[in-house]
Amino acid sequence: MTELNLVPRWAVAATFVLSLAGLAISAYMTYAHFAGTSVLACPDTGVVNCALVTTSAQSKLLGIPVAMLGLGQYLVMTALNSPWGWKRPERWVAIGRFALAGVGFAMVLWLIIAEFLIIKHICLWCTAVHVVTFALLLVLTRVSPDQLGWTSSPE
Amino acid sequence: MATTPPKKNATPAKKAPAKKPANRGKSRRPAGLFTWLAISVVVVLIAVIVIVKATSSSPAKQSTAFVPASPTVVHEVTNVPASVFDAVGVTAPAVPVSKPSVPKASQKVLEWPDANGVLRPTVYYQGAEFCPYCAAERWSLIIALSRFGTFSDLGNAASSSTDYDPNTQTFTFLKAKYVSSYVNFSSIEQADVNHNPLQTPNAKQSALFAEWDQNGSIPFISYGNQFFRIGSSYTPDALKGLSREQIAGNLSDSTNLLTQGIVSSANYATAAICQATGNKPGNVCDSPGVKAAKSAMGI
Repeated sequence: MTELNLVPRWAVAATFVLSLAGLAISAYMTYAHFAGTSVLACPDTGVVNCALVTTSAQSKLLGIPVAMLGLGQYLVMTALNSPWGWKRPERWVAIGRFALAGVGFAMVLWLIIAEFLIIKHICLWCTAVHVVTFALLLVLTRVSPDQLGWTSSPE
Repeated sequence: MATTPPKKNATPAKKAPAKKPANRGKSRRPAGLFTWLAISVVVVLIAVIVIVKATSSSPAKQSTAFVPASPTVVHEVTNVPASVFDAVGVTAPAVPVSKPSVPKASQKVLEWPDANGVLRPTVYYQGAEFCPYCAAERWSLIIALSRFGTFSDLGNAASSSTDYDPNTQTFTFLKAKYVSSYVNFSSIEQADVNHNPLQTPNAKQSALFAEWDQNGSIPFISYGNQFFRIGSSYTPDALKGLSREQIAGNLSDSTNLLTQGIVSSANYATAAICQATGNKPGNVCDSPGVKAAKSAMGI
Protein backbone atom coordinates (compact mmCIF):
# COMPACT_ATOMS: atom_id res chain seq x y z
CA MET A 1 0.00 0.00 0.00
CA THR A 2 1.32 3.38 -0.80
CA GLU A 3 -1.38 5.39 0.91
CA LEU A 4 -2.53 4.38 4.31
CA ASN A 5 -6.14 5.30 3.80
CA LEU A 6 -6.56 2.76 1.03
CA VAL A 7 -7.71 -0.78 1.57
CA PRO A 8 -6.30 -3.22 -0.96
CA ARG A 9 -8.76 -5.28 -2.91
CA TRP A 10 -7.15 -8.52 -1.82
CA ALA A 11 -8.02 -7.64 1.77
CA VAL A 12 -11.62 -6.83 0.89
CA ALA A 13 -11.96 -10.12 -0.98
CA ALA A 14 -10.13 -12.17 1.65
CA THR A 15 -12.10 -10.82 4.60
CA PHE A 16 -15.40 -11.29 2.79
CA VAL A 17 -14.61 -14.86 1.77
CA LEU A 18 -13.33 -15.74 5.24
CA SER A 19 -16.40 -14.20 6.84
CA LEU A 20 -18.69 -16.19 4.56
CA ALA A 21 -16.78 -19.37 5.42
CA GLY A 22 -17.05 -18.62 9.14
CA LEU A 23 -20.74 -17.86 8.73
CA ALA A 24 -21.39 -21.14 6.91
CA ILE A 25 -19.53 -23.27 9.43
CA SER A 26 -21.02 -21.58 12.49
CA ALA A 27 -24.50 -21.83 10.92
CA TYR A 28 -23.98 -25.58 10.49
CA MET A 29 -22.72 -25.94 14.04
CA THR A 30 -25.69 -24.01 15.39
CA TYR A 31 -28.02 -26.25 13.40
CA ALA A 32 -26.22 -29.35 14.68
CA HIS A 33 -26.42 -28.03 18.23
CA PHE A 34 -30.20 -27.68 18.12
CA ALA A 35 -30.82 -30.73 15.95
CA GLY A 36 -28.94 -32.88 18.46
CA THR A 37 -26.29 -35.36 17.52
CA SER A 38 -27.54 -36.42 14.12
CA VAL A 39 -25.21 -39.41 13.82
CA LEU A 40 -24.89 -41.41 17.02
CA ALA A 41 -21.39 -42.59 16.28
CA CYS A 42 -17.82 -42.31 17.50
CA PRO A 43 -14.99 -41.51 15.14
CA ASP A 44 -12.53 -44.39 15.14
CA THR A 45 -9.80 -41.89 16.00
CA GLY A 46 -10.04 -41.09 19.67
CA VAL A 47 -8.97 -37.46 19.95
CA VAL A 48 -11.50 -36.09 17.48
CA ASN A 49 -14.95 -36.05 19.03
CA CYS A 50 -17.31 -33.29 18.00
CA ALA A 51 -20.23 -34.59 20.05
CA LEU A 52 -18.18 -34.49 23.21
CA VAL A 53 -16.87 -30.99 22.52
CA THR A 54 -20.18 -29.49 21.46
CA THR A 55 -22.02 -30.95 24.43
CA SER A 56 -19.37 -30.06 27.02
CA ALA A 57 -19.83 -27.50 29.77
CA GLN A 58 -17.48 -25.24 27.83
CA SER A 59 -19.78 -25.25 24.81
CA LYS A 60 -21.89 -22.53 26.42
CA LEU A 61 -21.05 -19.05 27.61
CA LEU A 62 -23.49 -17.51 30.06
CA GLY A 63 -25.97 -20.13 28.98
CA ILE A 64 -25.68 -19.27 25.30
CA PRO A 65 -24.27 -21.95 23.00
CA VAL A 66 -20.87 -20.90 21.69
CA ALA A 67 -21.98 -21.99 18.22
CA MET A 68 -24.74 -19.37 18.37
CA LEU A 69 -22.32 -16.71 19.53
CA GLY A 70 -20.09 -17.62 16.60
CA LEU A 71 -23.04 -17.38 14.24
CA GLY A 72 -23.92 -13.94 15.57
CA GLN A 73 -20.35 -12.76 15.27
CA TYR A 74 -20.01 -13.96 11.71
CA LEU A 75 -23.32 -12.44 10.71
CA VAL A 76 -21.97 -9.05 11.79
CA MET A 77 -18.51 -9.72 10.37
CA THR A 78 -19.94 -10.73 7.01
CA ALA A 79 -21.80 -7.44 6.85
CA LEU A 80 -18.78 -5.42 7.94
CA ASN A 81 -16.43 -7.26 5.58
CA SER A 82 -18.68 -7.20 2.56
CA PRO A 83 -17.61 -4.90 -0.27
CA TRP A 84 -20.42 -2.61 0.86
CA GLY A 85 -19.24 -2.73 4.44
CA TRP A 86 -15.74 -1.75 3.42
CA LYS A 87 -17.12 1.26 1.58
CA ARG A 88 -18.66 2.69 4.73
CA PRO A 89 -16.68 5.81 5.66
CA GLU A 90 -17.62 5.86 9.35
CA ARG A 91 -14.73 5.31 11.72
CA TRP A 92 -16.82 3.19 14.08
CA VAL A 93 -17.29 0.64 11.31
CA ALA A 94 -13.54 0.18 11.00
CA ILE A 95 -13.08 0.08 14.77
CA GLY A 96 -15.98 -2.36 15.17
CA ARG A 97 -14.58 -4.64 12.49
CA PHE A 98 -11.16 -4.80 14.08
CA ALA A 99 -12.50 -5.05 17.62
CA LEU A 100 -14.90 -7.85 16.73
CA ALA A 101 -12.07 -9.77 15.07
CA GLY A 102 -10.07 -9.34 18.26
CA VAL A 103 -12.93 -10.52 20.45
CA GLY A 104 -13.44 -13.53 18.17
CA PHE A 105 -9.74 -14.32 18.39
CA ALA A 106 -9.82 -14.11 22.19
CA MET A 107 -12.78 -16.48 22.22
CA VAL A 108 -10.92 -18.88 19.96
CA LEU A 109 -7.93 -18.85 22.30
CA TRP A 110 -10.20 -19.80 25.19
CA LEU A 111 -11.89 -22.55 23.21
CA ILE A 112 -8.55 -24.02 22.13
CA ILE A 113 -7.45 -24.10 25.77
CA ALA A 114 -10.76 -25.71 26.71
CA GLU A 115 -10.49 -28.36 23.99
CA PHE A 116 -6.88 -29.33 24.66
CA LEU A 117 -6.64 -28.93 28.41
CA ILE A 118 -10.15 -29.40 29.78
CA ILE A 119 -12.24 -31.47 27.38
CA LYS A 120 -9.14 -33.21 25.99
CA HIS A 121 -10.83 -33.78 22.65
CA ILE A 122 -11.13 -31.61 19.58
CA CYS A 123 -13.86 -30.99 17.06
CA LEU A 124 -12.77 -30.53 13.48
CA TRP A 125 -15.66 -28.17 12.72
CA CYS A 126 -14.61 -26.02 15.67
CA THR A 127 -11.02 -26.12 14.46
CA ALA A 128 -12.14 -24.94 11.05
CA VAL A 129 -13.83 -21.92 12.64
CA HIS A 130 -10.71 -21.27 14.71
CA VAL A 131 -8.52 -21.26 11.61
CA VAL A 132 -10.92 -18.95 9.76
CA THR A 133 -11.08 -16.57 12.73
CA PHE A 134 -7.30 -16.43 13.03
CA ALA A 135 -6.86 -15.92 9.30
CA LEU A 136 -9.43 -13.13 9.38
CA LEU A 137 -7.60 -11.44 12.22
CA LEU A 138 -4.29 -11.71 10.40
CA VAL A 139 -5.73 -10.07 7.29
CA LEU A 140 -7.29 -7.30 9.35
CA THR A 141 -4.06 -6.66 11.23
CA ARG A 142 -2.54 -5.87 7.84
CA VAL A 143 -5.12 -3.25 6.93
CA SER A 144 -7.18 -2.06 9.90
CA PRO A 145 -4.38 -0.34 11.88
CA ASP A 146 -3.37 1.53 8.75
CA GLN A 147 -6.95 2.38 7.98
CA LEU A 148 -7.43 3.71 11.50
CA GLY A 149 -4.23 5.68 11.43
CA TRP A 150 -2.63 3.64 14.17
CA THR A 151 0.62 2.98 12.36
CA SER A 152 3.39 5.13 11.05
CA SER A 153 3.24 5.71 7.32
CA PRO A 154 6.02 4.48 5.09
CA GLU A 155 8.81 6.92 4.45
CA MET B 1 -0.98 -3.93 -5.62
CA ALA B 2 -4.47 -3.14 -6.75
CA THR B 3 -6.41 -0.79 -4.56
CA THR B 4 -10.01 0.25 -4.29
CA PRO B 5 -10.88 3.79 -5.27
CA PRO B 6 -9.85 6.08 -2.46
CA LYS B 7 -13.15 7.92 -2.16
CA LYS B 8 -15.27 4.82 -1.94
CA ASN B 9 -13.14 2.35 -0.07
CA ALA B 10 -11.07 4.38 2.27
CA THR B 11 -11.85 5.25 5.81
CA PRO B 12 -12.31 8.98 6.36
CA ALA B 13 -9.32 10.79 5.00
CA LYS B 14 -9.08 12.90 8.12
CA LYS B 15 -8.08 9.77 10.01
CA ALA B 16 -5.25 8.88 7.70
CA PRO B 17 -1.85 9.46 9.20
CA ALA B 18 -0.68 10.89 5.92
CA LYS B 19 -2.86 13.86 6.72
CA LYS B 20 -1.29 14.21 10.14
CA PRO B 21 2.45 14.13 9.62
CA ALA B 22 2.99 15.79 12.97
CA ASN B 23 2.14 12.53 14.71
CA ARG B 24 4.37 10.39 12.58
CA GLY B 25 7.12 8.65 14.45
CA LYS B 26 5.85 9.61 17.88
CA SER B 27 3.17 7.36 19.40
CA ARG B 28 2.23 5.40 16.31
CA ARG B 29 3.08 1.75 15.98
CA PRO B 30 5.02 0.21 13.13
CA ALA B 31 3.02 -1.52 10.41
CA GLY B 32 2.82 -5.23 11.08
CA LEU B 33 2.93 -4.87 14.85
CA PHE B 34 -0.58 -6.21 15.27
CA THR B 35 0.06 -9.09 12.91
CA TRP B 36 3.13 -10.17 14.81
CA LEU B 37 1.30 -9.66 18.07
CA ALA B 38 -1.47 -12.06 16.98
CA ILE B 39 1.03 -14.62 15.73
CA SER B 40 3.01 -14.31 18.95
CA VAL B 41 -0.09 -14.93 21.04
CA VAL B 42 -0.81 -18.12 19.10
CA VAL B 43 2.79 -19.29 19.41
CA VAL B 44 2.72 -18.64 23.16
CA LEU B 45 -0.60 -20.47 23.45
CA ILE B 46 0.77 -23.49 21.62
CA ALA B 47 3.85 -23.45 23.84
CA VAL B 48 1.71 -23.27 26.98
CA ILE B 49 -0.48 -26.15 25.84
CA VAL B 50 2.55 -28.28 25.00
CA ILE B 51 4.19 -27.49 28.34
CA VAL B 52 1.03 -28.18 30.32
CA LYS B 53 0.44 -31.42 28.43
CA ALA B 54 4.03 -32.50 28.94
CA THR B 55 4.20 -31.68 32.62
CA SER B 56 0.73 -32.62 33.81
CA SER B 57 0.16 -36.11 35.06
CA SER B 58 -1.93 -38.21 32.75
CA PRO B 59 -5.50 -38.81 33.92
CA ALA B 60 -6.21 -41.93 35.86
CA LYS B 61 -6.60 -44.78 33.43
CA GLN B 62 -9.71 -46.90 33.63
CA SER B 63 -9.11 -50.53 34.34
CA THR B 64 -8.79 -52.68 31.26
CA ALA B 65 -8.70 -55.97 33.12
CA PHE B 66 -11.20 -58.42 31.66
CA VAL B 67 -14.07 -59.11 34.04
CA PRO B 68 -16.58 -61.77 32.98
CA ALA B 69 -20.15 -60.52 32.94
CA SER B 70 -22.40 -61.69 35.74
CA PRO B 71 -24.19 -64.92 34.79
CA THR B 72 -27.45 -63.47 36.10
CA VAL B 73 -27.14 -60.38 33.94
CA VAL B 74 -26.11 -62.41 30.89
CA HIS B 75 -29.11 -64.69 31.41
CA GLU B 76 -31.47 -61.70 31.54
CA VAL B 77 -29.99 -60.15 28.41
CA THR B 78 -29.86 -63.33 26.37
CA ASN B 79 -33.27 -64.64 27.42
CA VAL B 80 -35.64 -61.77 26.88
CA PRO B 81 -39.15 -63.28 26.82
CA ALA B 82 -40.76 -63.62 23.40
CA SER B 83 -43.79 -61.84 24.80
CA VAL B 84 -41.67 -58.72 25.35
CA PHE B 85 -40.40 -58.72 21.76
CA ASP B 86 -43.95 -59.08 20.48
CA ALA B 87 -45.50 -56.55 22.86
CA VAL B 88 -42.91 -53.90 22.03
CA GLY B 89 -42.52 -54.43 18.29
CA VAL B 90 -40.87 -51.19 17.25
CA THR B 91 -42.85 -48.89 19.50
CA ALA B 92 -40.63 -46.93 21.87
CA PRO B 93 -42.16 -43.53 22.53
CA ALA B 94 -39.53 -42.39 25.02
CA VAL B 95 -36.41 -43.65 23.24
CA PRO B 96 -36.34 -42.88 19.51
CA VAL B 97 -34.86 -45.82 17.62
CA SER B 98 -33.59 -45.70 14.05
CA LYS B 99 -33.87 -48.48 11.49
CA PRO B 100 -30.81 -50.16 9.99
CA SER B 101 -29.95 -48.92 6.54
CA VAL B 102 -30.35 -50.95 3.41
CA PRO B 103 -27.74 -50.90 0.62
CA LYS B 104 -28.81 -49.20 -2.59
CA ALA B 105 -28.19 -52.30 -4.67
CA SER B 106 -28.97 -55.83 -3.54
CA GLN B 107 -25.95 -57.57 -2.07
CA LYS B 108 -24.87 -61.18 -1.90
CA VAL B 109 -25.24 -62.49 1.65
CA LEU B 110 -21.96 -62.11 3.53
CA GLU B 111 -20.74 -65.54 4.62
CA TRP B 112 -17.62 -66.03 6.68
CA PRO B 113 -16.51 -69.29 8.32
CA ASP B 114 -16.89 -69.84 12.05
CA ALA B 115 -14.12 -71.27 14.23
CA ASN B 116 -14.76 -74.71 12.72
CA GLY B 117 -14.69 -73.45 9.16
CA VAL B 118 -18.45 -73.66 8.61
CA LEU B 119 -19.77 -70.93 6.34
CA ARG B 120 -22.94 -69.18 7.43
CA PRO B 121 -24.51 -65.76 6.96
CA THR B 122 -22.40 -63.48 9.09
CA VAL B 123 -23.03 -60.50 11.32
CA TYR B 124 -19.93 -58.34 11.64
CA TYR B 125 -19.53 -55.78 14.41
CA GLN B 126 -16.69 -53.27 14.71
CA GLY B 127 -16.52 -50.92 17.66
CA ALA B 128 -14.45 -49.93 20.63
CA GLU B 129 -14.77 -50.16 24.36
CA PHE B 130 -14.38 -46.40 24.92
CA CYS B 131 -17.25 -45.57 22.59
CA PRO B 132 -20.59 -44.75 24.29
CA TYR B 133 -22.56 -45.41 21.10
CA CYS B 134 -21.03 -48.87 20.83
CA ALA B 135 -21.98 -49.37 24.47
CA ALA B 136 -25.63 -48.68 23.68
CA GLU B 137 -25.71 -50.78 20.53
CA ARG B 138 -24.18 -53.88 22.12
CA TRP B 139 -27.27 -54.33 24.30
CA SER B 140 -29.65 -54.72 21.38
CA LEU B 141 -27.15 -56.65 19.26
CA ILE B 142 -26.58 -59.24 22.00
CA ILE B 143 -30.32 -59.54 22.56
CA ALA B 144 -30.99 -60.01 18.84
CA LEU B 145 -28.19 -62.52 18.23
CA SER B 146 -29.27 -64.50 21.28
CA ARG B 147 -32.47 -65.36 19.39
CA PHE B 148 -30.35 -67.25 16.85
CA GLY B 149 -27.64 -68.75 19.07
CA THR B 150 -25.73 -68.61 22.33
CA PHE B 151 -23.14 -66.19 23.66
CA SER B 152 -20.45 -67.07 26.15
CA ASP B 153 -17.54 -65.16 27.66
CA LEU B 154 -19.13 -61.75 27.45
CA GLY B 155 -17.22 -59.30 29.60
CA ASN B 156 -18.23 -56.28 31.62
CA ALA B 157 -17.45 -52.93 30.07
CA ALA B 158 -18.24 -49.25 30.44
CA SER B 159 -17.57 -46.49 27.96
CA SER B 160 -14.88 -43.90 28.59
CA SER B 161 -15.26 -41.70 31.64
CA THR B 162 -14.08 -38.73 29.57
CA ASP B 163 -16.37 -39.18 26.59
CA TYR B 164 -19.96 -38.29 25.81
CA ASP B 165 -22.30 -40.13 28.21
CA PRO B 166 -19.38 -41.26 30.37
CA ASN B 167 -19.30 -44.72 31.89
CA THR B 168 -22.25 -46.07 29.92
CA GLN B 169 -22.62 -49.62 31.18
CA THR B 170 -22.36 -52.38 28.64
CA PHE B 171 -20.46 -55.53 27.65
CA THR B 172 -17.37 -56.21 25.61
CA PHE B 173 -17.06 -58.68 22.76
CA LEU B 174 -13.31 -58.93 23.37
CA LYS B 175 -13.37 -62.61 24.38
CA ALA B 176 -16.94 -63.42 23.45
CA LYS B 177 -17.80 -66.65 21.70
CA TYR B 178 -20.98 -67.19 19.78
CA VAL B 179 -22.46 -70.45 18.54
CA SER B 180 -25.44 -70.68 16.21
CA SER B 181 -26.82 -72.98 13.56
CA TYR B 182 -28.09 -70.04 11.54
CA VAL B 183 -25.60 -67.21 11.68
CA ASN B 184 -21.93 -66.55 12.46
CA PHE B 185 -20.81 -63.57 14.44
CA SER B 186 -17.51 -61.78 13.94
CA SER B 187 -16.47 -58.85 16.09
CA ILE B 188 -13.64 -56.41 16.60
CA GLU B 189 -13.17 -54.18 19.61
CA GLN B 190 -10.50 -52.00 18.08
CA ALA B 191 -9.59 -50.03 21.21
CA ASP B 192 -9.97 -50.37 24.93
CA VAL B 193 -11.65 -47.89 27.24
CA ASN B 194 -8.46 -45.79 27.33
CA HIS B 195 -8.23 -45.64 23.52
CA ASN B 196 -5.34 -48.10 23.41
CA PRO B 197 -5.37 -50.48 20.43
CA LEU B 198 -7.02 -53.76 21.28
CA GLN B 199 -7.97 -55.94 18.33
CA THR B 200 -6.90 -55.46 14.74
CA PRO B 201 -9.34 -56.30 11.94
CA ASN B 202 -8.12 -58.89 9.46
CA ALA B 203 -8.01 -58.16 5.75
CA LYS B 204 -11.62 -59.20 5.11
CA GLN B 205 -12.93 -57.21 8.07
CA SER B 206 -10.92 -54.15 7.08
CA ALA B 207 -12.15 -54.35 3.50
CA LEU B 208 -15.77 -54.64 4.61
CA PHE B 209 -15.43 -51.72 7.00
CA ALA B 210 -13.68 -49.58 4.39
CA GLU B 211 -16.30 -50.37 1.77
CA TRP B 212 -19.37 -49.58 3.81
CA ASP B 213 -18.19 -47.14 6.46
CA GLN B 214 -16.09 -44.64 4.59
CA ASN B 215 -16.21 -42.09 7.42
CA GLY B 216 -14.71 -44.63 9.81
CA SER B 217 -17.54 -44.27 12.32
CA ILE B 218 -18.25 -46.84 14.99
CA PRO B 219 -20.18 -48.87 15.87
CA PHE B 220 -20.36 -50.47 12.45
CA ILE B 221 -22.53 -53.54 11.94
CA SER B 222 -23.10 -55.53 8.79
CA TYR B 223 -26.10 -57.84 9.02
CA GLY B 224 -24.86 -60.25 6.37
CA ASN B 225 -24.52 -57.24 4.05
CA GLN B 226 -28.30 -57.15 3.74
CA PHE B 227 -28.59 -54.26 6.17
CA PHE B 228 -26.04 -52.05 7.85
CA ARG B 229 -25.84 -50.00 10.99
CA ILE B 230 -23.37 -47.13 11.36
CA GLY B 231 -23.69 -45.51 14.74
CA SER B 232 -26.06 -46.58 17.45
CA SER B 233 -29.77 -47.04 16.90
CA TYR B 234 -30.65 -45.07 20.04
CA THR B 235 -28.85 -42.57 22.17
CA PRO B 236 -26.71 -43.75 25.07
CA ASP B 237 -28.38 -40.94 27.03
CA ALA B 238 -31.12 -43.50 27.63
CA LEU B 239 -28.72 -45.65 29.68
CA LYS B 240 -27.33 -42.77 31.72
CA GLY B 241 -26.81 -43.52 35.38
CA LEU B 242 -28.07 -47.09 35.13
CA SER B 243 -26.11 -50.17 36.13
CA ARG B 244 -25.95 -53.29 33.98
CA GLU B 245 -28.08 -55.03 36.60
CA GLN B 246 -30.77 -52.34 36.43
CA ILE B 247 -30.88 -52.34 32.63
CA ALA B 248 -30.91 -56.11 32.36
CA GLY B 249 -33.40 -56.52 35.19
CA ASN B 250 -35.98 -54.46 33.33
CA LEU B 251 -35.70 -56.36 30.05
CA SER B 252 -38.60 -58.63 30.98
CA ASP B 253 -40.90 -55.62 31.47
CA SER B 254 -42.39 -54.51 28.18
CA THR B 255 -43.81 -51.39 29.80
CA ASN B 256 -40.39 -50.11 30.83
CA LEU B 257 -39.52 -47.16 28.59
CA LEU B 258 -35.84 -48.04 28.24
CA THR B 259 -36.67 -51.69 27.57
CA GLN B 260 -38.98 -50.55 24.79
CA GLY B 261 -36.07 -48.71 23.15
CA ILE B 262 -33.58 -51.54 23.49
CA VAL B 263 -36.07 -54.20 22.38
CA SER B 264 -37.26 -52.12 19.41
CA SER B 265 -33.65 -51.89 18.31
CA ALA B 266 -33.25 -55.64 18.87
CA ASN B 267 -36.32 -56.34 16.75
CA TYR B 268 -34.87 -54.25 13.92
CA ALA B 269 -31.57 -56.13 14.24
CA THR B 270 -33.42 -59.46 14.31
CA ALA B 271 -35.33 -58.58 11.15
CA ALA B 272 -32.08 -57.62 9.45
CA ILE B 273 -30.45 -60.91 10.47
CA CYS B 274 -33.53 -62.83 9.27
CA GLN B 275 -33.02 -61.24 5.88
CA ALA B 276 -29.55 -62.81 5.79
CA THR B 277 -30.59 -66.24 7.13
CA GLY B 278 -33.48 -66.65 4.72
CA ASN B 279 -36.01 -66.12 7.53
CA LYS B 280 -34.67 -68.94 9.67
CA PRO B 281 -35.62 -69.88 12.32
CA GLY B 282 -39.29 -69.38 11.57
CA ASN B 283 -40.38 -69.00 15.17
CA VAL B 284 -38.15 -65.93 15.44
CA CYS B 285 -38.40 -64.47 11.96
CA ASP B 286 -42.18 -64.83 11.74
CA SER B 287 -42.88 -63.57 15.25
CA PRO B 288 -45.14 -60.51 15.60
CA GLY B 289 -42.36 -58.29 16.96
CA VAL B 290 -40.01 -59.10 14.10
CA LYS B 291 -42.83 -58.75 11.57
CA ALA B 292 -43.48 -55.27 12.90
CA ALA B 293 -39.82 -54.44 12.37
CA LYS B 294 -39.85 -55.94 8.89
CA SER B 295 -42.88 -53.90 8.00
CA ALA B 296 -41.20 -50.70 9.20
CA MET B 297 -38.06 -51.62 7.24
CA GLY B 298 -40.01 -52.29 4.06
CA ILE B 299 -39.20 -56.01 4.00
